Amino acid sequence: MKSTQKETKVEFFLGSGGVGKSTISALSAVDLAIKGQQVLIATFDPSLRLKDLLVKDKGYLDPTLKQNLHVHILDPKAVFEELLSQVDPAVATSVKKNKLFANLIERIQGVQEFSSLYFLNTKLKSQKYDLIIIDTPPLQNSLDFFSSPEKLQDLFESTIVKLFIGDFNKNWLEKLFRKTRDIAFSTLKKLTGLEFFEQLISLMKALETLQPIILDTLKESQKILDSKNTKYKFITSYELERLDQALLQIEQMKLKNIDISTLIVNKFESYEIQDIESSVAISNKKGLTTLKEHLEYLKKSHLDKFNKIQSIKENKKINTVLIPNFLAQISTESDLIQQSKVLYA
Amino acid sequence: MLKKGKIHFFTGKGGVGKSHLSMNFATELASAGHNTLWLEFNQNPSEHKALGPVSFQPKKISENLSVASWNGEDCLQEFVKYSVKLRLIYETFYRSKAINALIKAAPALREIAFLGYLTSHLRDVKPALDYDQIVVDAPSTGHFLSCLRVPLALLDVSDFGPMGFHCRGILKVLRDPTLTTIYNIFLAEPLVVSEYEFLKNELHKSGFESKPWFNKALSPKLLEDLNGLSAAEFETHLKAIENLQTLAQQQNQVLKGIKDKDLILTSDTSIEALKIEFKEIVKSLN
Repeated sequence: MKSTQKETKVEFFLGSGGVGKSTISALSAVDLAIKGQQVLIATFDPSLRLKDLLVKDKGYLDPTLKQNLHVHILDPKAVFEELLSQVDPAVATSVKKNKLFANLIERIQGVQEFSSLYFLNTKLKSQKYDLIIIDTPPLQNSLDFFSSPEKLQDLFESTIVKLFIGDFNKNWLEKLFRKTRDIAFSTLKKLTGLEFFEQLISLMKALETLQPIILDTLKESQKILDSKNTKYKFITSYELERLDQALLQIEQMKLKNIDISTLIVNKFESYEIQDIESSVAISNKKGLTTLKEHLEYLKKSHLDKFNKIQSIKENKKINTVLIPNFLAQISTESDLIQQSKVLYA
Repeated sequence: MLKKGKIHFFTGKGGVGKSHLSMNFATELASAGHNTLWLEFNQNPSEHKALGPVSFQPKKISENLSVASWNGEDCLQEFVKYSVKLRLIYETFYRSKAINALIKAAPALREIAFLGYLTSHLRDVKPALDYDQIVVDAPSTGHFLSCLRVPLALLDVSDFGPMGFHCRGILKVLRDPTLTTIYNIFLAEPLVVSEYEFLKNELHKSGFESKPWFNKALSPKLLEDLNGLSAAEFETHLKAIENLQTLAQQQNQVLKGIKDKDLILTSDTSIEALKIEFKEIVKSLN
């Protein structure tokens, strides 16, 4: 009997901030949704315009899109509130009352990354989608996306409760440990003040109750990250510095067994060298020296960048997609559909 | 006259050229005779080609210019080292597993340590930095905003005691235009401009003012040259020139929309041209 459950594919879009990661992952999602797949895209903090375009109360105008495209804006605080609903209600209430949680939960290292993995885990279980696209949070180095959950895991594995409230009177080693901890804590209390210190400790104790769920999620996530159904796409803009960074990060990720399947170069300018040279000649003839210098600079930088891409293509054997610099903006739903067609033409 | 110890933040959407601009700005301040520190916050220090290894302790790269790469943990350590006079206590503090776990996890401790150390010389708090000018290659829009909002959030958690004292002091420095300038950098691209507007408004709501900085602009001289091409040449349909024309129009439109008067403008052509622009910018500050 044929199962109606779907084998869901996962795509991660990686890259530094400002290269068009959210826009391009959204365009990919739209493209596949139009072609009839059930697509879910999870994105962090997209630009306001993109958010307006993607999140529609009444659904999309296009019937196919309305049926197939699902968008989720990731919010770490909401994720943690959901986690809390799975533990002792008394603990949940105390965490929600904690001012550090209310104001600053997003500042805990690894929380954003964890949130997207948690979301992915939950949605994969539903088996409703052909494809889930994860637009990763902007990071200096994309590799950090994979190490942040590790940091969170370290934190919870060091069994915080034991460190904070454990009773260490059993032997001399534990007594020593307790003594160290007490000195350290009274130092911190003196430096930050009692109020802050108490809020911090109560937050840590409460978060400790989430440890089993967090560790489970991270274990499941590792399976998804290693799965053959998961693909990684790296987005960069058409700038020499960014291309160099991309190259470096792709190599670093390879060492961690993360294979980038596609390099997407956004804002690509496709000049013909002949065209630039003719432009130089015209400006030269007219005595427009600034223009001439600018065009010569353009030519040199274009050649440098183009050669860099060629060498990535050849040496790394990575599929490369060049996205032209549209110059036009995406401001309506039909722009979104139109540009998604251009993207994967 | 620039106040001694003034802090200059460079922020904006990713890819607008923060590092490049802040470094050029710091270099120009240094050659104008100010003892200058350029620092990046929470960046990946391994990715510098020109500077070599950069770490928490400032490294002198020319007569008046030092560079450093900071993260919150380092700043916190510096503060604890100074505040805890007894070496044994300090060592015990950092030997404690609980403290290390806490520092790694605690929201806001690292950010407040960073802002605290950065502004200490302007608050008469020690340990203090001793530079005439400090240029910060700051994180991009969202991260920068949430970093600056940390002292506000912490005041809500703890109004009294040392935390309240530091937060109020930090906010006072960051909100004083003679002590702090936040350069909000943008390009002539619709998405970048809307993020510029967003950052400007959000900063304003939290009580911080910023200055607009238009980067990768076509210089006035280049625009003049473009206008110098006659209609006949347009019909040759050279793509390089057509693109420049489109960019010029886009730039025009963007500039019409920006109401701020003291707009700083830099272009993106030769290094020589950039140097001249930065000389002018620094001169105008004096």
